[in-house]
Amino acid sequence: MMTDGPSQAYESDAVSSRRPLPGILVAGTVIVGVFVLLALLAPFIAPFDAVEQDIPNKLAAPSAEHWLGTDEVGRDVFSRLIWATRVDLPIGFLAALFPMILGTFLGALAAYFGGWVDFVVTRIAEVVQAFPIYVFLIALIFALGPGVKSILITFTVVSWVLYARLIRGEILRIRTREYVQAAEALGYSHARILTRHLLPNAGRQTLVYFASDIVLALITLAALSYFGLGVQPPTPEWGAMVAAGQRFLRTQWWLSVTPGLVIAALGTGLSLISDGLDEWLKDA
Amino acid sequence: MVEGRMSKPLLIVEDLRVEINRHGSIVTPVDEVSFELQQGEILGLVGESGSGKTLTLKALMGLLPPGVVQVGGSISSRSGDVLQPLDPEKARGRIMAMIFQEPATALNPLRRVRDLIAEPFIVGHGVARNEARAKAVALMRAVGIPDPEQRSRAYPHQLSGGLRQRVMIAMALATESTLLLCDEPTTALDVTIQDQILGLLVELKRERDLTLVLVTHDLAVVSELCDRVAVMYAGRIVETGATADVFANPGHPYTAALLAAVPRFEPGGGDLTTIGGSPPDLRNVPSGCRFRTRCQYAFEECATAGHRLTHVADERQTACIHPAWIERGVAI
Repeated sequence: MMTDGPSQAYESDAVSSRRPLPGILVAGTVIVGVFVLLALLAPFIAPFDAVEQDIPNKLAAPSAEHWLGTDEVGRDVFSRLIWATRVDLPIGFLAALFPMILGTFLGALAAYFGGWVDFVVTRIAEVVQAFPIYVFLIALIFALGPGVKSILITFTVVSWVLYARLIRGEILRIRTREYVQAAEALGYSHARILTRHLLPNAGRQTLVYFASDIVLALITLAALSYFGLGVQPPTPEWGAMVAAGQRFLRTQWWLSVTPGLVIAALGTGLSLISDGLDEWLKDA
Repeated sequence: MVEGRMSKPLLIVEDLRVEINRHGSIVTPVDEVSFELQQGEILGLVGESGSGKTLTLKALMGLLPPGVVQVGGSISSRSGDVLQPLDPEKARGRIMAMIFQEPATALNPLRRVRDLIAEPFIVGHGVARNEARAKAVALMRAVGIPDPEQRSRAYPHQLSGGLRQRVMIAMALATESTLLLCDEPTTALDVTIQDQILGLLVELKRERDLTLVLVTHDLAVVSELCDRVAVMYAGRIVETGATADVFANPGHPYTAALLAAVPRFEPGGGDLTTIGGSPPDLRNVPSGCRFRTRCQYAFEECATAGHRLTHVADERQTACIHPAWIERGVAI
């Protein structure tokens, strides 16, 4: 701890200096950034349309025209992989974002106000958690009918619980910190103390988890699409592409393998971001 | 310096009682605490750790920790010529603000200094952000932070302890409260910095017509700064009065013992005087006067005497039923 000594390191190092970004955070951001660019620029990058069929030319091997060949109805696989970025990326992101918002809100209320609010939120969370997560997901999507909307609703209903637990624990931990008391002593409202003073200090783990939760959501989305419960054909989606290519695994193995690799690449990027954030945001 | 202030109590605390109920056993860390705070004075609240001085402050602010409850007593504040019950929720950040002991942990680590100081302006007075930031820089200058422009962009951890405490004082001033409750504001600081911060508080008090309550266990600080002093022991105020009077002529054996225990740097000063025994366990306090088990003058009736502050002179009150014995300095 510094004191008012004659020589303060303050002038030289402090005010504007930032901690360097960890390498893995940069690497992860670059990988995910490439996917974001692919999604944004899909119409300019993808050589073919995503859904246009060319039956005579079906199941073609990779060639100069079709870099990754064509699928069972003659659609260009490379183009579909790129177009699918527009589907998987936003769904994965939102399927983690909505639960984060709901869970953080409920968890923060529970921790801050305690009492019956805490009791109710914690009990509901326990009920949700009592179900095996995939069984719950599949059952809910069956009930709501397949599709993007059901996927987002289902993810929100199921996975807010983890976010709620995370933020609740963190807020309980910092709730008694003096700066929170100081904020109360300055007469700030509950809403202000929660949003300006507690959440920013409690949100580190949530942010780290969010990045890895997107991976989870993406993989689950792919799995659901594989079972036919996710994104419906002919919309290009990586999981659905893996499922569709399965029949031709012996002869046209790239139909299943390439979308799998794409999912793995994006997942790796997000995981690197998650780990990098964790390192970067460690207590100063 | 003290003329005419008796007529204007800013805050009246009567029979304040705070309880902690833990697993059914009730402890009363603040008991029958009554005092008046005069407009424009510095009142020192002294006592050992655990004597209830900080909890008394927190009760005033309505910021008692979970599980600690104010179960009795009244706090009234004066606005204009009327005394009315104090609503801490409404008073916080409007008429009173608190300065904490540990500036390292009492500042939100994720906010820049300028935003910390600007916040009370924005929240309490509806000032626009940019204007509030400008006011924050002006306040930083007023509390003696060098290079305020540049430092306003710093985060708390980039500042030294003394500067952090100045930031906290600036935050309290930004609320435009006139009553500052200071909870050991210099305990966590270096001795040289302590003096600077205390000097700053006195200067600000004079410039801005503030009223200060200063919780401390440092008797030197009290004698230097405080107009009046209230001495707490085991949750009760045992003596109050003008600081000079109390120090020159203590009216309670505990005060006398405390003063005798202050180290003096005199040639051949001899051993440090201590108070025998230790403060009572609050779960099991002696009947009557709580100090009697350690008091060298204790009488039989001390065990049955109720706690009551009685006037022994103008503005002087003591809870001791035999204050005259102290003057004679005779041990029984």
